[in-house]
Amino acid sequence: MELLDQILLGFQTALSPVNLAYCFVGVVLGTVIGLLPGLGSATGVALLLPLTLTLEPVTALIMLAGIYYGTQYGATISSVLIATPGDSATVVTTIEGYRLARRGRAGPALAVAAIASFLAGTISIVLLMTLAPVFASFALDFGPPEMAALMVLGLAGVIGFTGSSRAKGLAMAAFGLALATVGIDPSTGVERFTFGNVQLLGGIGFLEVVIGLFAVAEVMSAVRRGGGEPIRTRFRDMLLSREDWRRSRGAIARGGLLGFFLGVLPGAGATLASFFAYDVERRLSRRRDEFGKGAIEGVAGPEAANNAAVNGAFVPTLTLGIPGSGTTAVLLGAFLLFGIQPGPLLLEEQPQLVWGLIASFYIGNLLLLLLNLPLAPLFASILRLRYGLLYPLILLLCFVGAYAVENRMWGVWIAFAFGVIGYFMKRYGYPAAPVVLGLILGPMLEKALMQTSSMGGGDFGIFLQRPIALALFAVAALVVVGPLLARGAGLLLAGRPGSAHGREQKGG
Amino acid sequence: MPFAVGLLLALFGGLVCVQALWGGRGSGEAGESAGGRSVAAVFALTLLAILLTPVIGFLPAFGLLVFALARFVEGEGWTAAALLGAGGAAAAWAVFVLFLQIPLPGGVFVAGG
Repeated sequence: MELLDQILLGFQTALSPVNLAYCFVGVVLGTVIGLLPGLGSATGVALLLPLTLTLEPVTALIMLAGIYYGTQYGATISSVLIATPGDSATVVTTIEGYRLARRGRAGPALAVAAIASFLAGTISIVLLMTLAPVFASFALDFGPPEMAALMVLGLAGVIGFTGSSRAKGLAMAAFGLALATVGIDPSTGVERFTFGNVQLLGGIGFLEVVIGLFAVAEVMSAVRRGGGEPIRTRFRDMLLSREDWRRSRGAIARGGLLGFFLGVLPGAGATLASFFAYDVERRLSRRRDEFGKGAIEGVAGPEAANNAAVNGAFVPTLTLGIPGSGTTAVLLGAFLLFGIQPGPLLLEEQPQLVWGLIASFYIGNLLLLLLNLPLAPLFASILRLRYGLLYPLILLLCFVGAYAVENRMWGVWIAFAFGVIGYFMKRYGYPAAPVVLGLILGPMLEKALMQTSSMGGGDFGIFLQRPIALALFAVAALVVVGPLLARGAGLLLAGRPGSAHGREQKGG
Repeated sequence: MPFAVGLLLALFGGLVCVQALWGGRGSGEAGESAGGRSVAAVFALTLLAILLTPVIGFLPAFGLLVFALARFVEGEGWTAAALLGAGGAAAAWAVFVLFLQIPLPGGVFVAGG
């Protein structure tokens, strides 16, 4: 009953005219950003975050979450129509979606993607509403040692969203932590790494870094890379046949559940979920020969999964304060910027905010479905714009945004510097998401460690008396070392040298 | 904390080095050399715009940047590039200065900035 009350409170909040309007603005802007190749969900949220700084926190977060959803829908459109995924979570969609479009079935592919996303969103929001309080009440007993262990686990989880190399991901997480140490030491008040520069006293702002690493670097990497000519669709093509629907509904249900639970795991996220869902559908399908040539369930499954994973990723973000993906890491930073500390207490202290946000997810999904079914062809016309005209404007937005965070040119310099760093990181395959995660979790981790050591009278031995903390550390160690051990064991069992498995991972 | 982080950074950095040496060819160095020069140009022009900001103001500097990128790097026409630069700066002014009331630096020619 109490849960029902809170859900009602949530919808009440989300349906207020102001919040509804910003949710709408968020999903539309998100769709447009998602459409543009190279600008993914993390970039979209980072780019538009400065616009929300003057809003009420609930409204701002509702708009940012809307952007997050919108990018997923938009990214699907460019995946299907120009075979260029707008976001890494829709890479898989290009496989079947573009083939379908080439066969003149772009309309049904887009329609099934929108419907799958909506239905999976519905499933996963129900799961989110039931699971979040459970998670939170479980985490209420957590003291500083457990929180510290949890953050270490979150950082270890970055391996999940680093594409190519584990070591690169871990190195980038450490780089993020190192950036977080700049500024005044929270326990002693000593200046660290400021080199006498007043601007550095407050530390390096996360938003400026994110704008640099994601937005500026993405734009730079895409300079001179033109988009393809999109395949045309018309409104009346956007209808599904009974046959399409029959083939897709199982895929949607499976993708939705799989996506949600993968999304909950720290670090796994939407990209992984979509790949898994595609694989599952290919294995289960009775028309396996159609896969690779345009099988509609190969669009429905992954699209359901990536949308459900977005919701799943909010469970650890809201209840533990540990982001489940790169984009939720940026959103977590947004929470902190508005002075809200996500964690087990958030549900009790700010029920209106949390439930309003969750309810807005549902409304956002509904808006996107209503917008996308009729308007996908219209959105697609944005793809005809030349990138050469577009990216100077995106750059302008990046730097005005970086200035607006704290009203100082310093932010512009930081964004520029990290744009250059991010460009080279991208070029040589160093993932950016772990840097952001390290930068955001760094101060929190440091605080938790400090409190732990004072609980133990200056001694970290207290960790040994906390079973939950020890278990979490063990899981973190397993996440880091486990795959290496598994590979080693596999090599021993197979009894042959070479690293076919390792190469496979690099390819992905 | 800084010490521990430094240690971690050195450790994982070392791992990356070892992997790179062991694996022979690095995994990320997929050539993008054709775009290399224009990317350098974009970075250089951006740097110029940031340096010009204290003198001529934020929006004029970045409007010029948009214009220069469109005209010289992307080879658009003079009119299109000029419209894009002016339009972009005007839109940014409308959203940030009018709507969000964030004062952008005006430069030495605008009293009070």
